[in-house]
Amino acid sequence: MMTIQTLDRTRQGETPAQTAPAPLLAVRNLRTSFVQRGRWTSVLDDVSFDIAAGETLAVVGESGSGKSVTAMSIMRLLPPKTSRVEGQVLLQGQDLLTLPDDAMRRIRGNEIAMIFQETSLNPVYTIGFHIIETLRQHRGLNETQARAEALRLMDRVRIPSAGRRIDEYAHQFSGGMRQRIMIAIALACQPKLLIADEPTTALDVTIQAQILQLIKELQADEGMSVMFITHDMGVVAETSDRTVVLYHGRKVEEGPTSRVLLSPHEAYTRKLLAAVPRLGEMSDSPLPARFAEVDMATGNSTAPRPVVDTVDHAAAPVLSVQNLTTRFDVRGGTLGGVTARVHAVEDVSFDIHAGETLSLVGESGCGKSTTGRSIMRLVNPVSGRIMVGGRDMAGLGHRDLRAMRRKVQMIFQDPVSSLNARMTVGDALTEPFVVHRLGSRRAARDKAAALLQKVGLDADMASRFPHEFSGGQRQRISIARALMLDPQIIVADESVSALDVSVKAQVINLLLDLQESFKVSYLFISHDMAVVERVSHRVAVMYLGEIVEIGPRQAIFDNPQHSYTRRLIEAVPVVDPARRHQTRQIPAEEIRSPVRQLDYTPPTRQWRTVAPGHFVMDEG
Amino acid sequence: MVNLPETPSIHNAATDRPEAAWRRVWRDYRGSPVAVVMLALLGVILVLALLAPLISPQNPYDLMQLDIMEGLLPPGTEASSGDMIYHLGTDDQGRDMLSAILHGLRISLFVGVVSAVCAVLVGATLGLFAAYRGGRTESVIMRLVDLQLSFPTILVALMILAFLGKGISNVILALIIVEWATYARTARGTALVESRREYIEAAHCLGVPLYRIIFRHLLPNCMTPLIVIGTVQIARAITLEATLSFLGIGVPVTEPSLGLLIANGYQYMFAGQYWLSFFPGIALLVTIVAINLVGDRLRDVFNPKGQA
Amino acid sequence: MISWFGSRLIQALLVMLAMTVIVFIGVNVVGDPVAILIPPDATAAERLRVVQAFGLDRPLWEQYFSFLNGVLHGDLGRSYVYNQPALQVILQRLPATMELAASAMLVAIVIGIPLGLYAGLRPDSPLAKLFMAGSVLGFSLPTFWVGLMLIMIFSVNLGWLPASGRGETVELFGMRWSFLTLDGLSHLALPALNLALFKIALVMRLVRAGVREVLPQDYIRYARARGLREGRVIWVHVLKNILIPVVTIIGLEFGSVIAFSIVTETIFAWPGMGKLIIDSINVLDRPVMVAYLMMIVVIFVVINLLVDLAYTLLDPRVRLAARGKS
Repeated sequence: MMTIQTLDRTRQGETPAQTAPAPLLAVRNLRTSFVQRGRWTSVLDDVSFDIAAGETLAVVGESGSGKSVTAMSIMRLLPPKTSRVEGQVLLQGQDLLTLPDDAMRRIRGNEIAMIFQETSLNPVYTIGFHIIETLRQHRGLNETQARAEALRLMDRVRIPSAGRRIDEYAHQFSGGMRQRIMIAIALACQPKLLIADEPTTALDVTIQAQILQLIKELQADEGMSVMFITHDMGVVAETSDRTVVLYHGRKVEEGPTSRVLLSPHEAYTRKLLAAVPRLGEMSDSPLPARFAEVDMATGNSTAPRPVVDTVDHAAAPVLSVQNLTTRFDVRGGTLGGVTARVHAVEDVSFDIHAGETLSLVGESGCGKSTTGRSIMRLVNPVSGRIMVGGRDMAGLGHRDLRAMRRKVQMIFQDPVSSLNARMTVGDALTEPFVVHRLGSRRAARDKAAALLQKVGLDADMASRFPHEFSGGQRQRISIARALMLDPQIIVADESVSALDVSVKAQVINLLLDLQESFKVSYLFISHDMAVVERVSHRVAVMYLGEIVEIGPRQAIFDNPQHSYTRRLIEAVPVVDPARRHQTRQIPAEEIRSPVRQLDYTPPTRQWRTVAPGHFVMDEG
Repeated sequence: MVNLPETPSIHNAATDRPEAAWRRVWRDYRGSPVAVVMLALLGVILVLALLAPLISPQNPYDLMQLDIMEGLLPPGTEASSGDMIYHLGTDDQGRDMLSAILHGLRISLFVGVVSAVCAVLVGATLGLFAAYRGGRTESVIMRLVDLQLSFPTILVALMILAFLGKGISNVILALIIVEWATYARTARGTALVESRREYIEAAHCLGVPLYRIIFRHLLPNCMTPLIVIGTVQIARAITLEATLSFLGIGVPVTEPSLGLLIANGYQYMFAGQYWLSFFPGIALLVTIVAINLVGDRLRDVFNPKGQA
Repeated sequence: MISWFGSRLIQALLVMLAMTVIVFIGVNVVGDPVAILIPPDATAAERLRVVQAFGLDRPLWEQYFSFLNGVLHGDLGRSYVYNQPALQVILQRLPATMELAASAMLVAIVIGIPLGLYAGLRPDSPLAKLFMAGSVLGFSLPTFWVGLMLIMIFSVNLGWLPASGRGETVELFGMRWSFLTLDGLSHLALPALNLALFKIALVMRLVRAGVREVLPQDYIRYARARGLREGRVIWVHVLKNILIPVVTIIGLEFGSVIAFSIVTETIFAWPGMGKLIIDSINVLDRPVMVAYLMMIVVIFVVINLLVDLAYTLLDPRVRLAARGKS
């Protein structure tokens, strides 16, 4: 019974795309408004597009573009009282917007399935409960049948030992596994269309690659259409046949993905693409490179100013980290004793020269942020030396540490919380200058005004409070604040990760400008390989608390030696439409954890010199 | 700071700051007309309580002014001397209820506010200290807080007063002991959350001295929950004092708060002489509702949901 | 799980031990210990005899251990008002208080949860706003004053319900209960409502806040996106997430209801522990006071333990963490 139904559906889905011009889903003049402060404000304006059977459409845009609202409007999931959806959403000719509620409910999860970020499972129910619930709702199976089907679906998305794990809760799974579960639920009723709303945004890059691959495979097997909502041009190239670009609630461009990516017509699309770093496009120069600027009015791009070589190789390094080790105790049990230890940073060494950018790159839990925080002494390392200008930061007392901190500054990830909401920008900027007694208050104010202009803001913005600025502007303020002390080194901990693509490019350009002006060195900590390639002189790849490979940026990207480096580079979605039809075999591996037993002794590591300055840890 | 330089208008930043912050709070607060009315009402109540000795028609505790023959007169009765009208009636000893209520309000507010202020000082200090020191100090203080908060306030206060005996200062002491734990928990919780925020780490990285981080960065950002909870706790302190006094273990008969006035009129209620308990109750109720609504509004203003 | 429960049990015993110390200090250091043992009108000679007989001249720690010994054997002295063991006096009043507290809690749950759900699901409806305004009043009205007003309206003016005592009782399991007779129920109605009023407001606000917090969660949006019926989204996905904190708070509030029954019992002359303790404080019947405090400590520790257990059983995240530790 069940199998017949399955076969039936599969045949329907396999209608050849070339003979059937009638789209599976046709969105016509979609206009969505929200009530904001008592007034109707339009958030989607006259958006139309089609999705053919078996096709993947990418809907791409920055925050506020309305890409998620589009999905919610199609699914009619917006709160009816505070939102209004006009236009037509035709699923095989039937307008979803005029369906009675009950009929619409039978479409959701059945004809059109949806997946979100992987945190969307109800924490108090088992994952089996979720799958079975969906199956029973739409397919009328009884409990036993539904459970058997749930196990089959879990196997399908390659969740190991499904029989045991079906009764576990979402928090017992890793992010990648949770996303697999959501995909299993989406497949439960063989939907005609799968809407994926940023399903991999919170995942590590190697896990993202697995999930994207899985979606591609399942789509081919099931013959379903996919609407992929993302902000990531790499994901667009990797997954989609056609692309719709949204900007401020309007469709600015639509076309086959290869055409949109290779020869965009519209100014905004060009601007967006110019801001996207492409892995591998930097192999002809050892230096970082600025992003091109695109004029929104004309769509013309001005070639970026070339970067000058700022690195001073002759002098002694400004920062020398030697055998740095940071561990955290995991406490637990009735008596709160130490039960395990996180080996966050294990025997890490590197140098940074004046005017140089060294990037620490790796996935979550690799210890890159802890390395930065150990250098800043925001956490205290267990052992090792942090030499700045010939003095060891690691052993300094309170007073000396304060003085040393003038030389090393940090920029944080979150532009919202890294500024004190109760201080004006002017006060925030002058404070470090004043407390270090670097000059009079007047000198502090003049310097703050000059730096605000230097980071691209107006000097008279100093009297405003942080909440009056956008995320990108706040990050500029943080950068200006760090520069108040004329530091030699700036630790940038995921400092551009939270920013939108185009803003990210501008802030990176700013960082490169400042390096040129002030000869400042960066320790650039990031999970984003493409950005790292863009900004670095040298790169260190971290894995489970250790540097597994370090060397000049060109060497790391063009000639990676460690298997983890290679895996990392391969996993990055590249803005290359040719990747759409590549299938890769990616094993369902999980990110490993640096939590160890108390009696764990780190193994002694052997290093191999690949080329001068390029070292790789022996694997064995 | 002597001559103002012509370069950018960065200079008034420091003077603008507190004013701007409070103006913003007030602008948001004004959004609810009910809350504005309640704030005004609270102001009136405070003034009435402060000026009670000056504005009340008689001194309710000067026995010379009382005439037992004027006892239990219903509201609106004219005094036999003809020089005043008992707008809210008289009690069993011929005391003008309006005057008694104004004086009672004064005592109730005094006890509530003094105990709340002391409790904030003690609790917030211990809470911040616990958050700052961590380790054993923290666990000792916080276990004590947990222990105390697992028992209802009225029980703890009852226990203390049973041992100490009646009296205004004993009631205040009991209320401080009862309330400090709430503030300690709030202060520690907020301080822990705030101290992990990146602006505090940024201040450390910028080499800002510790005392300045605590007083300039941490404390102002911990104040809002303390203010909100403090407002509501004043109302709770007043209620608790009234309850204890009603039970006869709070303030002494010589200094009757609203709670004690209600208790005194309790027995006459069965005879239909409602005004002895009813009017002090209304005064108490209005005060507490006003404080609670102001507190509610402050919470909404300080924790706007859609804040970016 | 068993070792988790064992560790909680040890914690509970430690709390009880700490409370004996506090009560002992309260009685013997802050208060006047002689006054506990003899009536206030005793002569000086009697005083001296008692001081020596009870070893009040011995070091404090020795006195504490003999006090602790007494507590462990259920010997908390004799009440001079009732001339019975203090513990026995308390135990006789316990069922009345428990009956009142349980009825009040039941009323609070039966009224508070539906109102809170309604106010949470339809926050903009006039009815929901009315409920919320009512809850502010419920929070602000002092329990004792509400009690007086209830008496004034329902007993004095309308004459519908009695204002004092337990009414006709029936014996069950060796204890006397009011709720089994019509007369008893009519006596129970006003005190239970009085005690419940604050808790209705509390439960209602708690449930409403829970609904407002859970509704925008991703897993609710996801449940809708899977085509589940709205009823199922609310009753299965929203409700279980709210019930976890609500059950916890309701459990803890039961203790607070027992404490606040002091006020209600005094007003409605309900012959429970609460009225007894106020009477005892007023006549300085200190052995009864000490017995009451120790009884309350035991009740609270047991409630806290049960709530912890319920919470652990309800929430898989906590349950699994607890299992992991064992």
